[in-house]
Amino acid sequence: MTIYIVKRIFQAIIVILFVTCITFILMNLIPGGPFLSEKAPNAEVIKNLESKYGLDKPTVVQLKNYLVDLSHGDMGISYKIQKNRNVTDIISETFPISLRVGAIALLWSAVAGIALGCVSAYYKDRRTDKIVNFITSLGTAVPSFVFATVLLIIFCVKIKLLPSVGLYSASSYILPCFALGFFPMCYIARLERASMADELFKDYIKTAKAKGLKESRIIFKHALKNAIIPVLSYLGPLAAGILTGGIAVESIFNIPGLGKYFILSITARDYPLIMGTTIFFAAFIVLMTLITDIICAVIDPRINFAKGSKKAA
Amino acid sequence: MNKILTLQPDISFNEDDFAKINAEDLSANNNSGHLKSTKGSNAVKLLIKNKAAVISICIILILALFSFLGPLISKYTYYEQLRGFENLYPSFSHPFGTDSLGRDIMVRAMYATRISILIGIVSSIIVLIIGTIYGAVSGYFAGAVDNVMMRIADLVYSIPDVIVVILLSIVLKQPLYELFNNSQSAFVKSFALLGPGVIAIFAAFALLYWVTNARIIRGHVLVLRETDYITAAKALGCGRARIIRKHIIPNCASQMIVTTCLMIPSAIFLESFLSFLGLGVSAPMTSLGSMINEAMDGMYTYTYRLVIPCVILCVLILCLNVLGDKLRDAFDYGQKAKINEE
Repeated sequence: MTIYIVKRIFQAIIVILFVTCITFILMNLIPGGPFLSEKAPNAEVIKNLESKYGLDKPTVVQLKNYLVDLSHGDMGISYKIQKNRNVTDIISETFPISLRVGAIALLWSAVAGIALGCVSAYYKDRRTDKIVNFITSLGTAVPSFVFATVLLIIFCVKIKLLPSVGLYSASSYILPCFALGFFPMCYIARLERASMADELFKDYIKTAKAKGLKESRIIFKHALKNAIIPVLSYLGPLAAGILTGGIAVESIFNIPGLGKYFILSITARDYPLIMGTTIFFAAFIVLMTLITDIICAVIDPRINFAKGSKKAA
Repeated sequence: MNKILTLQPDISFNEDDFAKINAEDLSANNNSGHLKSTKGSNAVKLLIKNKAAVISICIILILALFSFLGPLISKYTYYEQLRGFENLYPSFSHPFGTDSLGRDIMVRAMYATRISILIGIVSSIIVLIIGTIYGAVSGYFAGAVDNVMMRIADLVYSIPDVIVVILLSIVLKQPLYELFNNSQSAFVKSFALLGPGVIAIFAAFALLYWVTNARIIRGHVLVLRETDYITAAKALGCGRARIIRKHIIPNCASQMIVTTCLMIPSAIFLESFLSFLGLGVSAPMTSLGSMINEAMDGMYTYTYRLVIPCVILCVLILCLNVLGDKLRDAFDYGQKAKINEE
């Protein structure tokens, strides 16, 4: 198992390096520099600016410099959005906000999703199951940005119950977190239902029943332990989904998180900021996937380590 | 003379043998075709019995008709700005109202749905082709080749997709605009209407999304390559390319259909997300995501503008999801039923 974990960490490092290089090269391929604008400054000014930011060197040297700086935690400085401010500063200031919203969304979606899935599997093919199934299949068809706008209209415009912009009080967390977590919640519920329904048919559940254990104990103590593994392995992609969904939700609710800055930097063509946020997002997602895989490996002894990948098919 | 006579039948026998091999090859083909068709028809029968699947097929067909035939009937176009008719509420002449520039929302919704459907289909075909070839080759050759190819797939799988798509759509914007403006060919020009964001989506699907498909196909091929008819084909001297093309890929048909069906909604999802952020389809062409984005500005007063694209998008994705799920169930069940029969 140690070999597997080392392999996975190694793979994660390669992916992050790969994404960093690709991002850097792609950003350099864009014709036109960051200092070209409507009222073009004269050639000397541009030259000075370029030498100040090290843009006059060849791409390979720039890439090397960037990677060396990155290893020191330096991502350069923002050209436009917050002029001359360190990208790392902007990220460390805005990411906690995104993280807070994202973590709440992740938590409630996982808890509610697993609960709904269990209920639905327990009452399989009965009315409760059908209602839950209807809600969850509807939920997996609604993108988070659509759900967020619908919530905004209902709760902020029509019945003016909750604040619509910013994060000033506890109540302003409700809508963004709910909107962000709804799609994953439905997805988790469907996953959990499928695996729980499989699990409830197995022999060890029959044994438990024959022993005269209480239903609740059978489900929560025995079946859930096995049925939760598909959900756990989904946590990595889930974190990625919430992070990217957060980009849209943050701009809808006007939350000053990293996602909003990502969009702002794209529209303003603030290259160092785009690059910094992209690499940061990518590294975060890869890290989350890595953690999930390791957790799964530790929890589920049935995973085949010899092959190095968690699924055969 | 005698010798020749005895040789003669020998030669003719050889020819017969050839013919036999050809016939066998053909019958092997027919057999696989036959197998596929029974599996397929079983699945179709099961699918038609399922109420949810039939309803979603009907809704998808209605939406397709609405989006492809609608613009032909309507007297407005998606780009025409009717002066003096801005910001109209739904009425008889404009069933969905008009937007802030005086464009008929119904026609725009038709075009938007059409774009979404097209992007969904084209992206999933791209994924289908790349994923199938990659998966089939990896699964058929197995061993070291398979190992290397699957490690590459693992690597690609862990690249965060949405972030890369956003990046691609930014990066491709400028060069593609130049390409569109400089090119004379009508084929390239037709892409210009869609804008660089859409091309970025296609590129992202081609680069990143084939992995799931490739893994599924590979898993199936690993089972298929041990079957007797593949051994027979090998014994008859079929080349590797021919075996993959003629024997292995046709037998993955059910997997291919199901994964393609499930890929369409996720492509539509991605496109609407990008368009919502303003990175997808470029104006004046529209898509469901960009219609939602435009409607955000006046959503307090003109809520209907937001509701229409939202409802179409959700219904479309819902129906495609349901159809994909039921199709998978039908094929799974069909296969199980067949195994039981045997």
